[in-house]
Amino acid sequence: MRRGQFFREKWPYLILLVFALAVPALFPSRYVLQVITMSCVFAIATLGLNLILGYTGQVSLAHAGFFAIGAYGVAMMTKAGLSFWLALPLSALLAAAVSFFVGLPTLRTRGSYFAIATLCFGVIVSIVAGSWFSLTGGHTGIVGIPLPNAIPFPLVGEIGFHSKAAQYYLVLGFLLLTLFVMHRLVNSVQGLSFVAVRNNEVLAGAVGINAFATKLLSFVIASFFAGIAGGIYASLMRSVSPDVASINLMFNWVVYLLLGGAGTLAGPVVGTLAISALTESLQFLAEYNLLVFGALLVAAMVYCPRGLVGLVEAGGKKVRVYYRRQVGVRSDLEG
Amino acid sequence: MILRVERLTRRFGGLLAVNEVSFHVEKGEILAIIGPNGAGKTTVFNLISGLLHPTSGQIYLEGVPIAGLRPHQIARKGIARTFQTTALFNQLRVIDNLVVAHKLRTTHGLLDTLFRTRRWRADREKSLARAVEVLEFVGLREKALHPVSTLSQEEQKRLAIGVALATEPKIVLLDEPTAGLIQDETDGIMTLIKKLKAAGVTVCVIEHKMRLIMDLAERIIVLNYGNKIAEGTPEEISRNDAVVQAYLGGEYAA
Ligand SMILES: Nc1ncnc2c1ncn2[C@@H]1O[C@H](COP(=O)(O)OP(=O)(O)OP(=O)(O)O)[C@@H](O)[C@H]1O
Ligand SMILES: [Mg+2]
Repeated sequence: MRRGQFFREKWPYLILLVFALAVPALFPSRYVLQVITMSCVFAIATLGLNLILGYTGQVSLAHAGFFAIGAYGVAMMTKAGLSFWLALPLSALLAAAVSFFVGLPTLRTRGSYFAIATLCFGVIVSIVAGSWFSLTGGHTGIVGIPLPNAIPFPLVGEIGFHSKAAQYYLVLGFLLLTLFVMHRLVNSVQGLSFVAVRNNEVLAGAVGINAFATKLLSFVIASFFAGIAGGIYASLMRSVSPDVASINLMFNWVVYLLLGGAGTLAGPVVGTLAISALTESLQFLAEYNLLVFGALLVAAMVYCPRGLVGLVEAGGKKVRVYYRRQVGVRSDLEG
Repeated sequence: MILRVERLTRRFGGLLAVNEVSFHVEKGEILAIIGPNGAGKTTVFNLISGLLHPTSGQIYLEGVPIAGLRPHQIARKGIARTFQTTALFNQLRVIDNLVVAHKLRTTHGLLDTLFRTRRWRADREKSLARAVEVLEFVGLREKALHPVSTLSQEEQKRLAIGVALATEPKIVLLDEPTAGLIQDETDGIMTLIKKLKAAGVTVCVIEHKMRLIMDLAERIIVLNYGNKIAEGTPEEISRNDAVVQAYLGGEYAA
């Protein structure tokens, strides 16, 4: 009974899951699969950004900085011989720890001051990455980063990550895990308190919510997932350079988030995949495709501030109303 | 005595918004604060609720000094308030406004949230139960799942009082709960405040409309230019010369 209900409510997600699992079969091209895999890595970062920017309403522009910390962390640790499976959580925790100390002073500022302060942090990370030669390899960065270690399985042998399909599944696993964590966070009182702080900080304080601590928590979790995304990125790309801390990368995520739908769970994923697909198909425009994004972003801000997901939800509601009206009319006729 | 305010003073530059004001609130009573525009009434609430810090003076909640604490700490200690211009979480549904306002009475942490532990579920049940109880109390049970934006002015004021109640306060501070309402709606809110008293809630209410407060409050204090110029029963206040001159002269005599 309960299971029946579960399937009745969740069938669209199951279809999506089946589709996601079938992606390597549906897109045999190594190039396309690589693009999809990297989009999923960025979707993890964008989901993190969504927590602090979308749900908590704090425009953090330090996200690429934490992505870079995760990336360099995994690069250095795995090159030093540590297993990827240990290096990844350690690097993400490092990103989270750094964000805690970055958040302490910056989250005391508000609005555009916070945006500028976090932007500064991002720039500092990219400068450090570019100039601390002995640690980061300077502008050439670090190359020859090992792939994630194979996972030994009893009986089956082990699962390695040399094939593009295996890499895709690895990233898909992390993406689903991130979505799961975000789902639990957002659909809880904790999630409500993030929105409450975004919505009305004074009232939040008056009902006993420590707005500063709430923002800090959101910021640290967001940065943890930026670190996870960065770590996976480094290991799959086999190299990192100061580019991973660049403003451009950050800007892309903000576009993904705003076009997909900030403050929704599906928004960051939909936005990242849709815009990545669009970018690929607009390759012929070269750098002019930024122009297209700019126009899209403005249009989205004006006409659907809740992004693609908001658009679909509004459309769905209209369809349901229309359908109900049709059904109503028909039952009137039949009755 | 739940709340005691002693020689509370707040200066804004050259302006003495609140000047050596002392008063107290007994458990279960309704104390009204009245006074003309700019008298310093809201400032007194901002000082008590920690939104502003006093220049001097002290505030005691059940004998414990609380001046200088931050708003969320004071809310946790048991002082809830509403705002003169209705403040709600208008991006949340009605029920979620109350659930999130009850968060301060829950004990679960981040890991409980992620793993949906027994403690998380118990807290959730508790918060939902409290939210429904409050919704019933303020008469918004049917609106539980609606977005705040679909509520009328009066319903929003009710919800704002509900949000304050959801924090399980020892005392509620209401800042002009009927501001901007028409007569019928005002009566509705007044009935709700009477219901609060009947339920044993301690209330301190700022009210502009003198007539409304007369048959509601046990005691009234009157502020003018930041000074407390009178204190007493509604009867005494309406007979007080200083009050009549400073404040009631126009409105009450008319
Ligand atoms: N944050 C502030 N900064 C500077 N001045 C302030 C501040 N808050 C209030 N004031 C000033 O303090 C005085 C008292 O204001 P307050 O809001 O407490 O009055 P009030 O009695 O609530 O009036 P009303 O009936 O209009 O709500 C006013 O002159 C106001 O301009
Ligand atoms: Mg006022």
